[in-house]
Amino acid sequence: MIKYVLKRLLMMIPVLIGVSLLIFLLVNSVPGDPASYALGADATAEQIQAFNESIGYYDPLPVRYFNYMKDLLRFDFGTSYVSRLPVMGELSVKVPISIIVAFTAIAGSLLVGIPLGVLSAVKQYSLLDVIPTSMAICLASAPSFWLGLLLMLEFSLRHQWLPSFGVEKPWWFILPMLTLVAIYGSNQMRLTRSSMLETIRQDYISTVRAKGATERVVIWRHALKNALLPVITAAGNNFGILLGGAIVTETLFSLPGLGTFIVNGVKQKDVPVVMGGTITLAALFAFVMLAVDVIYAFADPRVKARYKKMK
Amino acid sequence: MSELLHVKDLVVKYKTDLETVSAVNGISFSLNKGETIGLVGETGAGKTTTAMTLLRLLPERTGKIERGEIIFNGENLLEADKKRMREIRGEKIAMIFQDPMTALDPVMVVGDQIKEALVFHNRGKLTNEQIDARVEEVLELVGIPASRKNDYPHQFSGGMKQRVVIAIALVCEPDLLIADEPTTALDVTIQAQVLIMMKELRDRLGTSMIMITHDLGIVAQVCDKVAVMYAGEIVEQGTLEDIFAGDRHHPYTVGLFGAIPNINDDAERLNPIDGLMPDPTNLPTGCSFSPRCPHCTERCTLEHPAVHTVNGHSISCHLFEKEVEG
Repeated sequence: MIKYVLKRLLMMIPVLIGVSLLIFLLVNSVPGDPASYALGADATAEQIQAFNESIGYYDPLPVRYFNYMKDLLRFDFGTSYVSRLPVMGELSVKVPISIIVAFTAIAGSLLVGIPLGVLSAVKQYSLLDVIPTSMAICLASAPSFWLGLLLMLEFSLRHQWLPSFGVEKPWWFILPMLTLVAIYGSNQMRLTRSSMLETIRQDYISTVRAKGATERVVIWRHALKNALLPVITAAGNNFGILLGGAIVTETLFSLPGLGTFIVNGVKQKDVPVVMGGTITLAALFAFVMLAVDVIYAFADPRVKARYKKMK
Repeated sequence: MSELLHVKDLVVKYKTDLETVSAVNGISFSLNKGETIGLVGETGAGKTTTAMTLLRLLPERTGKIERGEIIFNGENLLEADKKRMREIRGEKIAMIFQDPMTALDPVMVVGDQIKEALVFHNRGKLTNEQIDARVEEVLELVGIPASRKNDYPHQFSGGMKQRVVIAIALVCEPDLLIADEPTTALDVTIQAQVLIMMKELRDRLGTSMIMITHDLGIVAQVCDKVAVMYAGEIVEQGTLEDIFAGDRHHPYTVGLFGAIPNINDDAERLNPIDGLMPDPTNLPTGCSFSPRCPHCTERCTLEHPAVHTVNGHSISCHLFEKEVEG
């Protein structure tokens, strides 16, 4: 198992090099030079020339990539063209926010989604199934900006209980969290439900019933354990997506997270910001996927056995 | 010998919004302590439904017991409440399922799966050490080293898994064991092993058994009584000798035996019963075997045959009516 984890960590190196190369080529193939964005329309030709020279814009592309990677090895992500701040410093503020947002959103959606999913599967076709399931379908198909705006209207504008933006106090996160939990929780719930429905029709559940087990043991000890495997995978995927992909929610509630950071970088052709943000995101994503695989191995002995064989 | 189980006129239907499937249509049989009855018939004859009904494990929403009685140790199981049924399942009546590959929980070690059955019915009688000792004992009983109790199902072969399933069924020493095609999913060589083991254990523990199978060879090896099922009915019922010897048989039984290739004959082709089992959502009005029966008369297509019994050997067919009268 440990060998497997080490192997996976080593495999992350080529992945990250690939990601960096791809993103570097992409941002640099966008027409226009960085100085025009960084200095604005009023800049003189000399100023633009000087800025572009200072960032090595006139060097050939491979040389620029090589220089960037050389700095990256020392964890130097370079300096933002626009804000003139070190990207590393910016990341150390944005990444924790994104991780907190993604983590609490996933934890919340699992806390809501799994019990409701189990309930609706066990009580299939009853009101306890129909109501949560139809609510989940509505919430999962609601666009996050719309849901967020509704929450803002109700809780920020009408009742003025919570602010509509900012991250100064922990409870200021409540509205964006509610938005994300509503959407991702619905997804987790529907997934848990279908996975449970499939599991409780398995032969081994009949075996457990034939042993004289109570429904509680049947559902929580046997069925849920087996039904959770796809739910874990989906939760990991959603976590990775949320790290960089909660852009709409981040923008709506002005959360200074990784997603908004990268999008702004792209808009301003701020190469170090885009590169630094994307590589960090890719690394985080790879770690999350590894963590999911490790959790999976603990949940399913068959997977664990496969890892043992691989070493 | 005292009577352990008596099933009277049991009717089970599966009802969905679209259709009603008549799975079991008025079957009756009885079983004495220590006896084994074989339920024989092709796929879809209602054998497994009968077994699931005995344990009251039919799908809650669709499976409906329309009428009948299941008297087990003097108690009508169809009137027992959920709690009482849970006490009976596993402790009094245990079941071995058809496919050992899917009958065990893949994420729980086999020792714990056997232990569960004991724990559910323990009610403070045994200490933890005694339970663990019993689990090891029953594993050895079915021929698995006790040291393997901490292995997961995927670490066992098919035959070994079926031994674990049998261990789960036997650990509480039930009065009645229902074996639903216990060897169908196994290799022929393993089939023989498992069958011999089941027979030995049954004789040692004095358990009664319902052996569900479509393999007449298995019936000949382990059963005392045989009930031949067709389209949810028992068409012929009697002792092993009644069914395997003698010349009074239901045409379906004749067809079943005729379908077994004879090793001494030089037959080119197999000899199946022509036609298919009737659609259980739309059974024929008369005898349900009439569309495939070589002796079918007009009366057979109109009138459902009564059961005709001679010396405990009963056949449900118009052909045997006169014999009973005479």
